[in-house]
Amino acid sequence: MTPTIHARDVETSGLRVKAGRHLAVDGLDLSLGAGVHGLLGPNGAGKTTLIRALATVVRPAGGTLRLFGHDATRGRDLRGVRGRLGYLPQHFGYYPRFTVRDYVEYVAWLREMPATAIPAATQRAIERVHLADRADAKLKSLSGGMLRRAGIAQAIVNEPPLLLLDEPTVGLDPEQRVEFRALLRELGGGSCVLVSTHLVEDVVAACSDIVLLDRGGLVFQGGPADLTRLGESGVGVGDSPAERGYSHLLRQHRGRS
Amino acid sequence: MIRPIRAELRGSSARTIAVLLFVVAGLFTAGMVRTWWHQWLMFGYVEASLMFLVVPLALAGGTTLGRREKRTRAAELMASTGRPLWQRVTPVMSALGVAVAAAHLLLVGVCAALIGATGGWLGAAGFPSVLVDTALLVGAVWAGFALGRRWSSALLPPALAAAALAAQYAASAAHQPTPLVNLSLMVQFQQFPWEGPTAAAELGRLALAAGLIVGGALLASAASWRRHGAAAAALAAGVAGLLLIPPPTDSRRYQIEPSAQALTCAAGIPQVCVTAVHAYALPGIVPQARRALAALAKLPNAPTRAAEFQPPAVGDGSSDQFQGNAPRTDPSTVRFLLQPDWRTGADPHLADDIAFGAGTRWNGCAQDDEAARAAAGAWLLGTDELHVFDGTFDYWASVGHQATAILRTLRKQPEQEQLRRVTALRDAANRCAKELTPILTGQPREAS
Repeated sequence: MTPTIHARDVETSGLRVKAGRHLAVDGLDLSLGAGVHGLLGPNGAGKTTLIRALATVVRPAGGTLRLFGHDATRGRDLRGVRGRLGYLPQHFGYYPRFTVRDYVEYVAWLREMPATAIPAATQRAIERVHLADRADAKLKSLSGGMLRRAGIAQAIVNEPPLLLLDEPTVGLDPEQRVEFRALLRELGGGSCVLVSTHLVEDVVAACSDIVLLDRGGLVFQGGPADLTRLGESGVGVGDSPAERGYSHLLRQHRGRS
Repeated sequence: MIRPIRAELRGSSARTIAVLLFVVAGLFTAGMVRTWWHQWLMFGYVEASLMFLVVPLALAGGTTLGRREKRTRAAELMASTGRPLWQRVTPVMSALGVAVAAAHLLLVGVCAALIGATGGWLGAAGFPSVLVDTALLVGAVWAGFALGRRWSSALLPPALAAAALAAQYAASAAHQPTPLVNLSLMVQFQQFPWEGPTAAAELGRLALAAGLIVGGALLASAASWRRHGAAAAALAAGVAGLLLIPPPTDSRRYQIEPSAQALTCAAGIPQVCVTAVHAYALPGIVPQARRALAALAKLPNAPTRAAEFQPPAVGDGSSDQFQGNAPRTDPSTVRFLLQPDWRTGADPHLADDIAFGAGTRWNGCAQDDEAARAAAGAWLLGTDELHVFDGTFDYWASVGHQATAILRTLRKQPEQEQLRRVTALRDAANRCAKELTPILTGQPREAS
C-alpha cells in the first residue's frame, strides 16, 4: 500500500466511537501530521477510546476515519494500515514468561516486519528505551517502570509512521520521564506520534501540538506555547501557566455547552 | 514463523502443559508396568487406555493457554496488528502441538527402548496406534486452545476436563454392543500379547483426532460464524467417527499380528519354540520345557518338540474358546501356554503345564477330569503335586486331594501297567474323552 503523498497521517471527520453503550467520541474532526501530539483531557473525555479507534481495535460507530489516506474502517485496507502502526495500550498486556527481547520480536513479527530485519530492529528499540541490560529478563520480573519501557519498545520496533501511546509515562520515575520526553521528540521528527496523558508538563515539554478533548469532542488544538500563553494571562487554575491554560479552556468549553 | 514458534516454546505454558501430561502419562504407564514389560503390543493397550485420562487433561491445558490473551490483556495489542488471525495463532498452536507430541513420543520412545533393551519384541504393528494417539493429543490441546480463546472463563478448563472424563465414564458403563461404548478411550486389554488393534479401531480414534485438529484450527483461526459452524461440524464428524467406525465388541477390536505370533526356537534338541513376543523368555523356559519333554518321552510315540500354543483366533476371554470337542493334535509336538513372570520372564510351572494330562492340555479338547490329568502329569514328572494355573487359579487347590488319591492308586500298579494306563489316558484325552480317572485307577470315577 503506497501512502497518498498529500494525505495527513490521521484524518477524522464527524468521528463517533462507542465505549460499550456510551458514545465516548462524538463528532470529532481532527487532522494530524508528523510531530508529537499531546492528547489531553479529563477522565472520560474520550482519549483512550479515540486512541483505540486510531489503533483499529474498535470500529467507529459513524463518521470517517482515514489513516495514511486509507479508510481505516474498511477491512481490506486494515492489514496494510496496521503494519504501519505502533501502539501502547493504556493497560499494556504482555505474556509474563516471555523475555523482553522475545516479546518485542514477537510484536515485530505481528507487525509484519521482514524476518531478517527483526533482530536488529528489536535490539535498537530495546536500547532506545534503555532496557538493553534487561533484554533477556522475563517480563514478569520487571518493575512497573521497566514494563512501561518494554511496552514502548514494542510500540516503536517497526519505526511506525503513526505511533499511539496511551499514558506511556505511568510508572516512570522523573529521570525516566525526562529521557522519555527526549525519545518522543526524536520519534516525532519523522512520524506522527499521539500521546495521551494527564501530565500537562510532559505535553508542554515534549509535544509540538496539543489536542484537548472533553466529553468526546475537540476543545482545542494548537501549540504548547498557545496553552502557556493563555495561562500566563492569569486565567484558570493550576500550578503552572500550562495547567492554568488547560483548566481555563475546559471551563470555557463547559460554559459554552 | 520459526522465530515466534521458538518464542512460544520458551515463553508460553506449552512446555509446562507437555511436562504435566508427560508426568501423568509416565505415572500411569509406570503403574501398569506389569502389563507391558517386554510386551510392545500390550504397551499399545496401555498407551491407548492412557488417552482416557490425558485427553481431558490436554483439553484443559489447551484451554488454559487459549485464555492467555484475554487473561493478560494482550488481546488489545494483538488486535491492532496486521497479521490475519490464522497467522497470529499459528505460532502458539504449533508450539503447543510440538511440545505435546514430543512429550508423548518421548514417553513412547522410552518405553519402546526399555522393551527393546530387555529383549522384548518390537514390531511396526504398534506404531500406527502411537501416531494416532499423538494426533489425538494434539487435537485435544488445539480444541481446548480454541475454546479457551472463545470463552475465557477460569472455570472452563476444569469443567471441560471433568465433562470429558464423565462422558467417557458414562459411555464405558454402557452395555455392549452399543456404539456408545466407543466414546470411552479406555480400551479393553487384549487376551494375548500377539494381538494388535484392528484398522477399524484405529480409524475411529483417527477420526476423532482429525475432528479435534480441524475443529480446533478452524475455531481458533477464524472469527466468522460460518467458520465456527464448520468447526462444530468437524468436531461432530470426529465424534461420530469414533462412535461408528470401530466395532462395538472388544474381540473385534484386535487382530492377530502374524509376526508377533510366529515361532522362534531355541538352539539344541529337543526343540523348544515360543512365539516372537516371548522370545526374550526362551533361555529361562528351555530347561523346564526339556524336563517336561523328557518326562513325556517315557510314553510311546512321545512328542519330540515343545511349542507355545498359537491360538487360531483372537481371544475372547473364555478358557473354553480353544478347548472344545475337536482335537487338534500333532503327535510330534506338545503345545503349552506360556505365562511368564513379568519381571524375570520365567514360568516356574511350565513343566507342570506341559505334563498335565500327559501333554494334552492344548490339544483342542475341553479339560474335563482335571484330577486325572493332574495325576498323570505328576506321575510323569515323578512328583506328588502338579501346579497348573488357569490365569491365577491353581487347579491343584481344588483337585489336589482327588489327584493324590488317583496317583496313589496308580503307583500301586506294576510299573508297566502304570505306563500303559498313563499312555491310555493320553490317547483318550487326545480323542476328547471326558472320563479319564477310570483309565488310571481301573475303577469308576467317584463323584466329586
